[in-house]
Amino acid sequence: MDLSFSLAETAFQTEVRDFIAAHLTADIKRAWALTSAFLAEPDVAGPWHRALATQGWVAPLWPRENGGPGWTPAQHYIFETECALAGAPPLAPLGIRMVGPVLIGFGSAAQKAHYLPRILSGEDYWCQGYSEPGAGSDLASLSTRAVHDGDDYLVNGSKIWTTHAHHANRMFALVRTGQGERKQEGISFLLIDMTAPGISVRPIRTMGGDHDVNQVFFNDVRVPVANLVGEEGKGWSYGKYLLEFERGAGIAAARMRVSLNRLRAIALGAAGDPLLAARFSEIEIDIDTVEMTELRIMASLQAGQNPGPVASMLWLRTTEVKQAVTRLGVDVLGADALPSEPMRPFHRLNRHAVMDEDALPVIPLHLNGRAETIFGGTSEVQREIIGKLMLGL
Amino acid sequence: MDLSHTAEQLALRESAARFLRDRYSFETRRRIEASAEGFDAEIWRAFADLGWLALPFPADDGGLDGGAIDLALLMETFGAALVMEPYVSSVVLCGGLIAAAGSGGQRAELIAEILAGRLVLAFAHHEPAARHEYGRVGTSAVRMGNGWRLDGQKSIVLDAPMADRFLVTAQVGEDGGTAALGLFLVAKQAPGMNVTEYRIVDGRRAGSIVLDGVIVGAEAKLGGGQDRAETIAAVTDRAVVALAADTIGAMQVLLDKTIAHTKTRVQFGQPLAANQVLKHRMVNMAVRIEEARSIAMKAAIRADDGSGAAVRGQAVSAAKVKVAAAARFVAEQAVQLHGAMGVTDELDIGAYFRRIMAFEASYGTPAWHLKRYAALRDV
Ligand SMILES: Cc1cc2nc3c(=O)[nH]c(=O)nc-3n(C[C@H](O)[C@H](O)[C@H](O)COP(=O)(O)OP(=O)(O)OC[C@H]3O[C@@H](n4cnc5c(N)ncnc54)[C@H](O)[C@@H]3O)c2cc1C
Repeated sequence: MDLSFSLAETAFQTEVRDFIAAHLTADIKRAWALTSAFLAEPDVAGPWHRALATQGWVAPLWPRENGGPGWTPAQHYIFETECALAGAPPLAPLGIRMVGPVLIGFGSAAQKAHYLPRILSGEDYWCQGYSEPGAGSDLASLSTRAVHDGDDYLVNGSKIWTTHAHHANRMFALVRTGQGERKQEGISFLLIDMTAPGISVRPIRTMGGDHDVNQVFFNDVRVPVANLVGEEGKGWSYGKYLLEFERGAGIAAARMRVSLNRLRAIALGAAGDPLLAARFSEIEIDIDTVEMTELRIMASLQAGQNPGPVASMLWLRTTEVKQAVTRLGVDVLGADALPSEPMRPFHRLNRHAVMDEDALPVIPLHLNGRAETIFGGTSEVQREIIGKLMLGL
Repeated sequence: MDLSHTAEQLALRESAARFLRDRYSFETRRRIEASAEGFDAEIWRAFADLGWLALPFPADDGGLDGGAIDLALLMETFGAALVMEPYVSSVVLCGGLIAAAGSGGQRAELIAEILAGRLVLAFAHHEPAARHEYGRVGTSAVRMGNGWRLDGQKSIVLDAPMADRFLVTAQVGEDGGTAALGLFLVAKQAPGMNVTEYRIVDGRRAGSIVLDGVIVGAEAKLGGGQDRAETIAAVTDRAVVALAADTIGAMQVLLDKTIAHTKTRVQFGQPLAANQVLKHRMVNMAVRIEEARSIAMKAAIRADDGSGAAVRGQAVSAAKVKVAAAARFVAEQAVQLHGAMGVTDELDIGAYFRRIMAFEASYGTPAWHLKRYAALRDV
């Protein structure tokens, strides 16, 4: 066994570092460091997305013929880790990691030719229309309907918790086109133009004070039948395929380490307090452990094997450790955890803030971070799945 | 031994809960939070009319002679309704300090005004440099002729925006003698007072103060020449008891709402509450609340029974640590069991979560109280 990267991989690491040094501006880094929402706003991640696009580095997991870089799992790991350590904003996953792989796997030639380049260039911004007021964990009970009307579907209903719907010009959605014996039947995967008449978007503020999520209403919205992905009624299997990508990102240790180090900087002398020092170490050990699990998965992918159940377990632990990091932020601030700045975004505040700049996002990150164990499948539902599929329970 | 509430105490709780149910809905509270003042003068007058502002004062000062147990019962209803008004600052802390340390003249002048709701005071104690050490005071008071000159910085002075005056703690340098902690009444408008106001995490208001050569008269100093450190500790302990009760009120609402939600929301063809893992989670929430009630009850009794500063301090610090941890668990699980709607600002779940965060961070963090508990053990 050996934990070091090969010479070629180390050379690649240098190439990535050089690229980042040349293209990641101080403004982008600062804006991301001050972000308390889940995703960077498009005006923060956008310039970095475009820089990566010129290099062909936007979509690490896509095959080369679709515009991916053709990296090995090790290269992918190195790239994500270097971006995180350098303080680069993560690119929105909705196009690159979510709808992209579905289109590559199940889309028509015309859909691939139209949409994939627009995802890579950043021209299209996607949102995910799965959850509904009545269909959360039990997603298959969704009821937004699409009925045939000439060359179109007529869509009626509502989606909720739709991240960045207020920025998106496209939505990929699961809609009901029929009633099968099982509720998973009769669900279809549709691509919807967010500028179509009949769509309205209602903002929902999170308890951390950010605007990430929305409710989207459809009132007789026309969607061309050509925007159906794959077969009608088979949407559930495409949607599930996508969820595996959503959860399987699996490279989070470096970002958590950066967050922890920011807290160390904020804590200053207080980090030497024995109680706080022990908390820092405990969480750092959690991060070391997550990182080693990530490397195990990466190494088995590299060897052409299926990593198996450990990937689902990693997702579960990663969300919990992320929450522990933001929780530590509250303790680091102590009494200074009380002041709160309601205005957003922090990087554009042009007046005297109520606290030091680097402390601004700490409490909102903690509050918003409670969602880590909810979105992408709640921790409870994840445990049900692991128990059933992996432990035979 | 008697650990039961009296009929009067139960009646107080019942009438407070009824008043707040009628007059302090979540929508009303949301409106007050959004207002520029963060405070409803009419509600405050109603609190005065109901006698709540008089509750903890001695009968000699025009109060109702209420003890820590009475205070806790009232505060539990405040936590359940997420009351924004400056009760702890003005009545429990500043009022309590004046009652304990003020001269006859100061008590006569100030307490009547406080319990009538005409005077609001805020306690300017915590300092930016103290950070994790609650109550480390660097602000100085130096004799100037007949009066005093105050210099220093205070931060996170809760309810500063609605306060007319502050009760400021400062190290008093009496003619070369050892430093003693003194209490000074300072008007917000006094020359040299620079107050910056802001919101805190649960929507209430606070301020930071720079005292830059503030000159006050001799009458501004509370009471005679002694060190007020123990009085301050006793009164802030009472505030922690009050806020522990407030937090218990908030936790109970979170549990009730979570039970109601999981019994009605259907996923996978059955109510969420039918899942064993969620049932057990809610049972654990209930267990933590019951534990919080026990330790908070002990602290309330010790706050009043004269068993000494160390015994009182330990009981109060124990309550802070235990109630804060319980509240954390309950709040996090309430959010988790509500799913995505739990992390929004639309339901009140998030507002309770933020209230509990404020409890944790004010008047000494759990970490500070843990250390204090250990230190007092050896006394
Ligand atoms: C910040 C954020 C962003 C999101 N972005 C998107 C998005 O872009 N697009 C989108 O479609 N959706 C999005 N979601 C929605 C997310 O996928 C759902 O919140 C999630 O699937 C859970 O559904 P729910 O919120 O309705 O909770 P519910 O399903 O109502 O669950 C409530 C509680 O019950 C528990 N529970 C439910 N079923 C079981 C069971 N069988 N056994 C044990 N426990 C159970 C859950 O674990 C949870 O604790 C987002 C959510 C959040 C918080």
